[in-house]
Amino acid sequence: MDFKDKYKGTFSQVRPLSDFEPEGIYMKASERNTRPLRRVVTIGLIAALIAALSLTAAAMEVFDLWDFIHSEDEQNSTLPDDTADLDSDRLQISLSGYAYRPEAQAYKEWKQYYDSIDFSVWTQADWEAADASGLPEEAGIYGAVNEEMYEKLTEIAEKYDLELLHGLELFTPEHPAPVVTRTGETLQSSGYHYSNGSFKAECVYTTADGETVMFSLFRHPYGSLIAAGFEIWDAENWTQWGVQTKEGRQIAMGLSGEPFYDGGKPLGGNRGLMMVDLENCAVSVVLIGYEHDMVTEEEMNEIARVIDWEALAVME
Amino acid sequence: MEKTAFVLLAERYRDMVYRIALNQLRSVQDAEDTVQEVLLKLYLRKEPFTDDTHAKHWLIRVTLNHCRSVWRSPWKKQVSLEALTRTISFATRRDSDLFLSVMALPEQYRTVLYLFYYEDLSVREIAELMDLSETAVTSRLSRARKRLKSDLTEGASHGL
Repeated sequence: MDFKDKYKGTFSQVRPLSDFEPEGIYMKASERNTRPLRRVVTIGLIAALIAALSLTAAAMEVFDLWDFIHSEDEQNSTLPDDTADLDSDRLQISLSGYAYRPEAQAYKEWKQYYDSIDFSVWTQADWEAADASGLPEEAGIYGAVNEEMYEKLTEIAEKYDLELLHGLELFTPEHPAPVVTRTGETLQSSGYHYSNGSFKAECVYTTADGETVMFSLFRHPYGSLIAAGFEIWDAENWTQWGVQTKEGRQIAMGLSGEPFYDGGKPLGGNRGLMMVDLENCAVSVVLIGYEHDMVTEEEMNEIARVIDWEALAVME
Repeated sequence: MEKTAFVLLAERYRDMVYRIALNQLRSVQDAEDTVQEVLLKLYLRKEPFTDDTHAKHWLIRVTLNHCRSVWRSPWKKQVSLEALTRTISFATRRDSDLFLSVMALPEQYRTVLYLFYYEDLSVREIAELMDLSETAVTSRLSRARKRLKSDLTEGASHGL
């Protein structure tokens, strides 16, 4: 009996203690339908916040998300003339910076290599050989599970003169992620970080109208190979705009307003993305909504204006 | 959602939702609450599913999203591993040991293990549903297996 059989055998015994009672669900549904909508945006509060922070919206043509996808030429970082790629099935955005940067190109190359490996045909023996390979910590960070993959990883890192991430540690309540607001409040968060200052933080923020919003914030200092990306399957559903901070940072914003997970495309749901180049690092924010809790442009603008981006730029 | 279709889907996937929630939250009570909340969302859903896979993946995503919000809640129940194991009856000591070892893993490994080994999802599907890169999924699977192997070989052998 292999591990899979044992795992299934064990977890098949794990079942809810209570019986399924559809009538209870129907009753809750009728109660839920009588409640007011949760997401009522208090325009006045948001307007006051915007005014207080002295921020202005930037023209989206100046700096938009597609730069992170297409422009591999630093001199040509506006919308490309040839928009054919916008109709492709999947758009890849490296969360490590603009497409022209070595970090993004290395990501693209590693992703292409990684996608060429079909793990579904791996046998138990393949996994056991991988488990026994004794690769260093950084191999695991990138999902390189055997010697061949690790060699390819180091080859790509050397080609683009990038370092591999190492020193993975978790954030703790005592040492939370350094995501702070302009008023100096550290956001409640969890996540992990590496020794070069790269991190992913799952943050919780309460909007001006009392809504709780959760988002993932990635900070990736330049000079390291980063395997974090963002895929878009439904480019036609995305809207873009820009927000400029009072320090002049341009934040590229994008949102797919389509209902969560509709039409059978797992990556085509309601999601928001913010990206900003902080000169020494790239920072991105990902928000994911679902049917009864959609991500909105208003809450994305609020988050963009509340986060202290400068603090993320200067940290070591 | 029409009631007959709802009951059919709820019966089919209720255990899956519970197991994912238990893997995520490690609390029987929170997992039970999650089942109720996810089934409520299912019933309130107006758009039809294109097929069974669409429904299954949608339920997994909604469950994970709900668990995320429970995880952040100050009211999340803290349950010891031993207490958790006592609430579930297993046929053999070996099953109980395996369950305990899996639940002792960090959360980031448990759900990936479950979706891969129990629900037979591919690395790509798991990556899409959990908003992870495929590298992260394979990395977590590999690390989880190593951790389990190390844990279990200290006790009884499970053929890892």
